[in-house]
Amino acid sequence: MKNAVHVAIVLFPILVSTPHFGLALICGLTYMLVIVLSQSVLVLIEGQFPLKYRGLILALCVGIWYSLVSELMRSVDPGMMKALAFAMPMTALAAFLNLLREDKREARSISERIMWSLIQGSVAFFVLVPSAFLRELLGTGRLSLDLSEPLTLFPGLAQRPVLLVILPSGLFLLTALAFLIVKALRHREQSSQEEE
Amino acid sequence: MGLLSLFLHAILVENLVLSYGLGLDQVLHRKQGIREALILGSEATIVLSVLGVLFWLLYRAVLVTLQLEFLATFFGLLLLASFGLLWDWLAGKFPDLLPTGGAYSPFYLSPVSFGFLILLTTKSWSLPEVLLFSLASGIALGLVSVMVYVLRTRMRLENLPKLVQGEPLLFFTLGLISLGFSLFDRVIDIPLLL
Repeated sequence: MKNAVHVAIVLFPILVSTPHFGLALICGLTYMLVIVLSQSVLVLIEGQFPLKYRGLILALCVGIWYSLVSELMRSVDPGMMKALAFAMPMTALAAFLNLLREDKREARSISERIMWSLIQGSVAFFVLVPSAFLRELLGTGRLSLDLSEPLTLFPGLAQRPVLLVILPSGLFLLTALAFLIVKALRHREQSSQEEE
Repeated sequence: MGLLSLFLHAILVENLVLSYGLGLDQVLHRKQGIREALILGSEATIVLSVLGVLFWLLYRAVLVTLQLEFLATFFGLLLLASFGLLWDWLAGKFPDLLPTGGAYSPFYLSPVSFGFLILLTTKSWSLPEVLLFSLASGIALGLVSVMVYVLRTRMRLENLPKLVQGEPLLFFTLGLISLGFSLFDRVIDIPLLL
């Protein structure tokens, strides 16, 4: 339960600002890339700088890398980048902070650290994408890989969208529901173990 | 938008925690009491105001003038990391006055500060408006923090089913509060002052 709460809290600002499937897909992939690349930078600079300066160096690397990528994406699809103006930088920061937190823990081998960052990236991806998929589908009845041409799956819902699901308050309610499900599953698991 | 409308908007409608999900880790900190919640609010107000003004100066005076807006994230991260180092240095010089790695440390490199800076890049505000928004955002964080403390205390006193205790009910209630706050959108858009 603690892990689920931690993941939800770290990813909440990104989840709030990505109510569309396409946006969440891009953010999920960016998160994975940022966390793996930043881990590689940390491995490269390990032992060369004191811990407190590592954050600054990593900030420089993440910042430069992110700025170049976002500028490239903006030139390809300006509309998409405008929609991601808040979510994308938050993705970079969430990955960056997660790494700094990891960096202070016990020493791991290089391959373990890269693997761990890949796992963290995958977790973020598999939280962001399904939640955006559900929110968009339940809220608008549409699915938008491309924001300008969303695919209408439920025409009735598309005509009368349930905006609550798309709004941040809806995300709080959905998160509460997810926590409830996780808690219920844990409870069932524990009671079955006790019976055995 | 008038200044009072902007202030109320930042506290209610554009609440950093309830509308953007920023600062949830600070607000949901388990050991918080009412005193800690109020301290958190005042810290957030000071740190966000300083960072907001510095970033506004950097963004408007340098990046927008030189048409380098795409470097906002880079400079935002750099500003936060440098702010952290500066704070540590100052705390080392004046240990009696400033806490080291204690109360302020969660703020200088956290999603709240960074998200707040990124939020500023999406608005075309003047310096007084940025300062007012920063102050109101800090107050909003303190307000939500106090609300979470009160909710937790109340939940401990009630005889609730085990399944809904803790985070599920807390998030559900925060969702309802967020929905309630967002309804103020139209009300405070009426020009009140200036």
